Amino acid sequence: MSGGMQKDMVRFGIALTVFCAIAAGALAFTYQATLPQILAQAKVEEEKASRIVMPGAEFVRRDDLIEKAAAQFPEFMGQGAGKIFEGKKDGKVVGAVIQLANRGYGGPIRVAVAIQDGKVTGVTIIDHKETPGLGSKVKDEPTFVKQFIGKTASDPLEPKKDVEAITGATKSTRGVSGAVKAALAIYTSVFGGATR
Amino acid sequence: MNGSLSVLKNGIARENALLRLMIGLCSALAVSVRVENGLFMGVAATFVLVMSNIIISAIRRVTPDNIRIPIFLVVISSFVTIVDLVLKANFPAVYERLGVWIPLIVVNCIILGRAEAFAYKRGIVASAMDGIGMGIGYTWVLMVMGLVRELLGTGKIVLFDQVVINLGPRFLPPVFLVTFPGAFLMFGLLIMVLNMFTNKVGS
Repeated sequence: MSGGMQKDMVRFGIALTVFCAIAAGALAFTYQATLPQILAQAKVEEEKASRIVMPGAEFVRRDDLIEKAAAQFPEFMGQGAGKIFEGKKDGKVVGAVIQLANRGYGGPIRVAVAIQDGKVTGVTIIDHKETPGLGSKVKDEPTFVKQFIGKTASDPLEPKKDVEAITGATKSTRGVSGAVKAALAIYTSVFGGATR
Repeated sequence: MNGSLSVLKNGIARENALLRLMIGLCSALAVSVRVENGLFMGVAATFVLVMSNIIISAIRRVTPDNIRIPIFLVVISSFVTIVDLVLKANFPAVYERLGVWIPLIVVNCIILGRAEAFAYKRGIVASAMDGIGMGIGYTWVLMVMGLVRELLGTGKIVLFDQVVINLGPRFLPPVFLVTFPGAFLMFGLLIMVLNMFTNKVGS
């Protein structure tokens, strides 16, 4: 009786091992076949905001600079919120896109800022948790982010000075303008004010 | 061939997995907020269903009875992982939306149920037909539920990033349709419609 059971155990073990080995082979093959595509999709997703603010450029992620910026500006770049991309056109560096977060009214506002030669050339809101209909206008009204184009590190970037605030959403406005100001400071810091 | 055709038709209405056997409901109710979700979820589940039915039928003579369930699960989860990887590589937006429901196809009762009740006992062709029929039955229910819930719940139908139907700003959508109560309501209505229809035709 026990001999029969032992034989069964061996038989089951062999059957399961064979099936699992075949399955593992099939999965390894699929994984290898889909991996390049999956990596490409992840890159596209990561660069989506950068493409909006700096269309037509190729992006190189500068992880070496992110560390430095996160140490200097932890409230904007800390906890993985910050990303720095170098934008290249025809192989030449034309500018940088800085992704960062700043406190808004309902939570962090994530912003991507494109900077060329020390000037803001594009701003987009990646995501936010602002009040729908009030603070959410920072994203829903495209004219709001347009006002930041051309700003430099020497601009005050304050509501009532050079930023037109959204009525009833001063904190949301400050969240975005503060993020743009920080992006300019980070740009100056990590690129050393060099012209790019 | 006549026999396998009736096997195929079986899953579409008479033994519809969702409306008649009432298995695999969780994911069906959760996913059917949009037509597009229903389509992709249905195709994904159908692929897994057909492929696992074929393989399980093919290996049924070398599968020891005592450990058939672990072996079914190895087969099913392999195909689910394949679907998962392929969707992630080619349809990242859909993959994002369907989220955890794709890996959860592994534990969808329909798949294991058909493996145990059908594929383990029948030939490869019949098992493939059963998978196709059950898959179509699953997909059409998801898509009809998705169609009604999306159209009336959001006021428009979006397919592949294109607005296909728009009821316009004057239509105020009852949002509860895209929440869980809406799913149950739609599900009950579909059962009613199917019963009315088949009772007239059948027994």
